[in-house]
Amino acid sequence: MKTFALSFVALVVLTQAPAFASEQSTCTTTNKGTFLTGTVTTGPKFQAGRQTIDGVKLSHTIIYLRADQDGRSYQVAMDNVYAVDYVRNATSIPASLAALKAGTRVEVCGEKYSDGSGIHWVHSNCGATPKTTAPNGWVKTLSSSGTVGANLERSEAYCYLWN
Amino acid sequence: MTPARTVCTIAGVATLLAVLAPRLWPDTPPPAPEPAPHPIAAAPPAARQWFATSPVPTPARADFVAAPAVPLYGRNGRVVDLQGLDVATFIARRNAAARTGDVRAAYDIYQATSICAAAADPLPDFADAADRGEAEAERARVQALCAGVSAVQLQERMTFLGQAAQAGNHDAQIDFFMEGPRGRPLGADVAADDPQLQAWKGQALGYLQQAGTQCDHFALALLANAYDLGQLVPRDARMTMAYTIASAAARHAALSDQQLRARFGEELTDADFAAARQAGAQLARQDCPAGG
Repeated sequence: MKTFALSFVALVVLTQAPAFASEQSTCTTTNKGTFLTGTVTTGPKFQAGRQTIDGVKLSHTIIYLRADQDGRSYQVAMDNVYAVDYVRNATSIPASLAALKAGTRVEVCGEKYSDGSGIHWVHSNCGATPKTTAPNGWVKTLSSSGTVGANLERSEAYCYLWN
Repeated sequence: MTPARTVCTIAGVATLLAVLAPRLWPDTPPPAPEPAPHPIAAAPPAARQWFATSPVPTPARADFVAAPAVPLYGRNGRVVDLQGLDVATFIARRNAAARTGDVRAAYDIYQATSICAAAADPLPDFADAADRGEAEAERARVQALCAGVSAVQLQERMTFLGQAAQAGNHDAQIDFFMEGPRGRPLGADVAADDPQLQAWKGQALGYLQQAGTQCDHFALALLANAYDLGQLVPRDARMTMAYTIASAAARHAALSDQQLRARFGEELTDADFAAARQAGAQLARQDCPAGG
C-alpha cells in the first residue's frame, strides 16, 4: 500500500514536472523563496492576530501539508491580509483560503521557519526586492491535471501598512 | 517595436481606455460589455455638514461606563467607539437625526449596529484553543452590549450605510463594498443573476470609484482586487494592473516596470501590459492630481 502511495506521488510529481520546474525556479531564483508542493493534511484554521498595525490585526490561516519533496509535514502560515477577499479585522477565514481543505494539492513559496517545521511569508512582498528573509511568496492550488492556480496571497490592498 | 506590435498596443490602449471612459470622461456613454454602475445621486448639499459636530448631545459623565480595554470592531473592520453606551442607547440617541437626513448620525448608527452584525457571524475553526476562548469571551461581551438590538435594526443598518455612502462619505462607500450584498459575504447562497445582487454590484462599484476619484488609495486597491477576482465586474487583469498603479500612486509609491512585470507579466501580452500601464498613469493623474 505504502509502495503504491509513493508511486502515485512520484507519478503526480513526474507528470507535472515541467510546470513545477518553472515554478520552483521562479520561487527559488527570482523570488528568493523556499519552494514546497504537497497535499493539505489539515484544513484551514484561524489564528488570531498577535500584532496590530494601524488598527489592522494581522491574523493568519494555518494549514498543514505533507511535502512531496521530503515527505515531511509542514505548517503553512498564511497572512489573511494578503488574501484577495480578506475583510479587515474579521474573525473569519477568507473564503479563498477556506477552500484549502484536506486533500487539496498546493504549492507554496515562502520562508521556512528557523526550526524547519513550517513555512510563512507565503505572500506578495508588496513589490519590494525579494530577499531570502522576505521572498515574493505565494500559495497556489494544483489541479489534478497539473494546472497551477493563481496566487491566493496576492492582494496588495494592505501594503500601505508597511510602506 | 514592430508595426504589428504597435497596432496591438494601440488597440489595447484604446480598449482599456474605453472601459475606463466613464471615469476618465464622465460624458462618454458606457461601453456595452461593462455593466453600467448603478446611478449614484450627486452629493446633496447636506454633505457639507459631514464634518460638522453631530447634533447628538455628548452624554453626561454618569452615562459613561469603563472604556473598553479591547477595541470594538464593526463588521467593516473599523474600531467603533460607543462612548460608553450600549448599542441600543447609542442608536436611540441618534435615531431622530439620522431619519431626518443627518448623514453623520446615519453612519454612526450603521457603525454601532455593525458591531452586533459582526458578532452574529459564526466563529471559524481556531488553530489555538486559547484564541477560541478569547474570541468567545469577546463575543459574549459584544452580545451583552447588543442586547436590545433587533434583527430589524441589524438589517436596517444597510439603509443607513447606503444613506451615508450616497452622501459621499468615503468610509461609508468603502464599507458598502466590504459589507457585501445585504450585509452578507459576497457569494453566500445568492444566485449570480439575482437582481438585488446585480444592483448591489453596480452600486458598490460606483461607490468605490467615487472614493477612488478622491485619491483614496484603499478604494483604488479594492477596485484592483475586484477586477482581479471578478467580484463586481468580469475579471480583467489589465484593469487590475491599472488600479494597482493608481493605488500605489495615491500612496506616493511608483511601481517600476520590473515590479509590474513580476506580477502581471505572465498574464498580460506586451500590448495589454502597455495599455494597462497607460491607463493606470491616467487614473493616477485624474484621481490624484496633487500626486497622492
